[in-house]
Amino acid sequence: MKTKLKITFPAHLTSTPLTYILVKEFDLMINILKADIDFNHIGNILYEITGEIDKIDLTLKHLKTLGVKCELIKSTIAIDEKLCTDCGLCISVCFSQALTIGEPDWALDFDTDKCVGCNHCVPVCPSRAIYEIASQ
Amino acid sequence: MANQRSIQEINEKIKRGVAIVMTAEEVIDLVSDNGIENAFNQVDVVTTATFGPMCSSGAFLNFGHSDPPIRLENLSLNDVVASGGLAAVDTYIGATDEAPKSNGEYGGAHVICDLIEGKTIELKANAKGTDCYPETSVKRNVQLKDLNEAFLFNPRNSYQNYASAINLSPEPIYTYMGTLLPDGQNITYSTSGQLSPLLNDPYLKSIGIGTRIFLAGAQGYIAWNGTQFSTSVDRYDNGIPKSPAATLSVIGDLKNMNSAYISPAVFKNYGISLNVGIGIPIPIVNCEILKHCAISDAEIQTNIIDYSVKKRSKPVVQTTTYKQLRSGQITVNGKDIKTAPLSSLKKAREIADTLKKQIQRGEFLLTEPVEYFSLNSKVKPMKEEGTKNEN
Ligand code: SF4
Ligand code: SF4
Repeated sequence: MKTKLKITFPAHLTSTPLTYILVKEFDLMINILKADIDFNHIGNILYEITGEIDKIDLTLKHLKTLGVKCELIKSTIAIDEKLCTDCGLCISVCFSQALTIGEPDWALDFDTDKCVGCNHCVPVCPSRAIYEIASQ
Repeated sequence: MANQRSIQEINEKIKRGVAIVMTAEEVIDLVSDNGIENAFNQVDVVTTATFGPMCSSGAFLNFGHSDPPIRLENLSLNDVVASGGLAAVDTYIGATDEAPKSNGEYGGAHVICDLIEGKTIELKANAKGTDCYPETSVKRNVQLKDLNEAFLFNPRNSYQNYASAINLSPEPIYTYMGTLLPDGQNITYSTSGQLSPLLNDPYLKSIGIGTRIFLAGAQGYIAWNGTQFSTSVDRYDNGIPKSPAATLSVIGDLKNMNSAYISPAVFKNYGISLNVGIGIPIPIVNCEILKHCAISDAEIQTNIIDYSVKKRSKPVVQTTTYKQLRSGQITVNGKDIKTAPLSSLKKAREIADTLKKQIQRGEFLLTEPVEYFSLNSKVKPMKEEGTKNEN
């Protein structure tokens, strides 16, 4: 199974090698899409992970016992279809081909699997139809 | 007479429910399969449409008189400043005006669309107070149904052959053509090409003052030529202008508009605009008109302009066709560059189709322009300080 995993970890865990644990102990294939540490030393990482379902389950349990907030997400953004005019402007900044538009119907198509969570499309949408999915 | 029919004849057919109506996309195949002469006998009306950001837009509103009466001198609608320069309780609200505390996220376009959606708007106004208009301040919550008149009046819409945009500088730039990434990484374009109203009638032989149109869901009219109207431009052999040319001033009743066809648009670090949906029917009165309606995206050439050059005249990087733009990728200076639209072809198609059905059902009759537009019109730049301007 391939999915996106978003984790948020408190300051005292910034020196714990979380990514290493995921690879070593749970045998996950990992691609880091985004990582940052904010002013309060709270860290965020967005991974694309591939691994067995059971192992992913165990990973989530383990991370929670460590005090890491984690959730599996399909993508970091969502599109409000009522606001979207299918103009196509958002595809101008989406280089992962997650957002596409074209024949036959010229309706915007969003492929969550291809989204790498860069969020570049959010401010570009003139109809404010694209929003970041808030973390829990 | 063969190969000729009048607008009256077409309207008679519309009233009898037998007029043959096609969209400007459908007619391309009809003409390529049958040739112009044969196709002429198989189509009476062609519908064209566009839906995209049109910054030069706004609305006239009349609130009715308060008691005691006031002349609205400094006024705002949901904190967006509107004109206090008209008599008493009339105003004009421009689409691009921004509410000061909204961080550029709310403006005149939002006020207009909120009214159309039946939402409540806060009117705040003050005045010096005069013998005629003694009241010095009002604050009211109003909805569209509370207003006497409310009509959209857009001074410049529906640009004929608007250029597409690229940024060849090393920094990103934020424009009304969207965010243009550095080093020419993307290109944006903004007309509906073969469906676009003024590209289907390049010499404005059927479109003029008084033409009835589909405006944001309502039946509206062409009121005048648009501002910066420029018809004495170089043209390709098929009549398509080589640079942005004609524009339209349009008018229509807000009370009959539908938010599916008009919506606010916010461009990052640029400002606010209004997405306007416009549909224009073209009466197929002769073969020449039909020939122009049959021009396809492959035959519509347009310029790609470098928006990073901060001058009035921006350099043309390359000329391309709408077919290439629509393909999603163009080669510029040997590099494949992604293209993205700014105006919604899906909405434009919906409008062309809705207008087609309205005509087929006899709900929309065609008009002969009261006045045709000049084909010798030029645009002047702003007068330079201390120079004599040309005529
Ligand atoms: S977040 Fe990035 S990758 Fe995902 S759809 Fe938006 S631009 Fe594309
Ligand atoms: S930019 Fe916004 S309105 Fe346009 S297609 Fe993308 S999501 Fe829809």
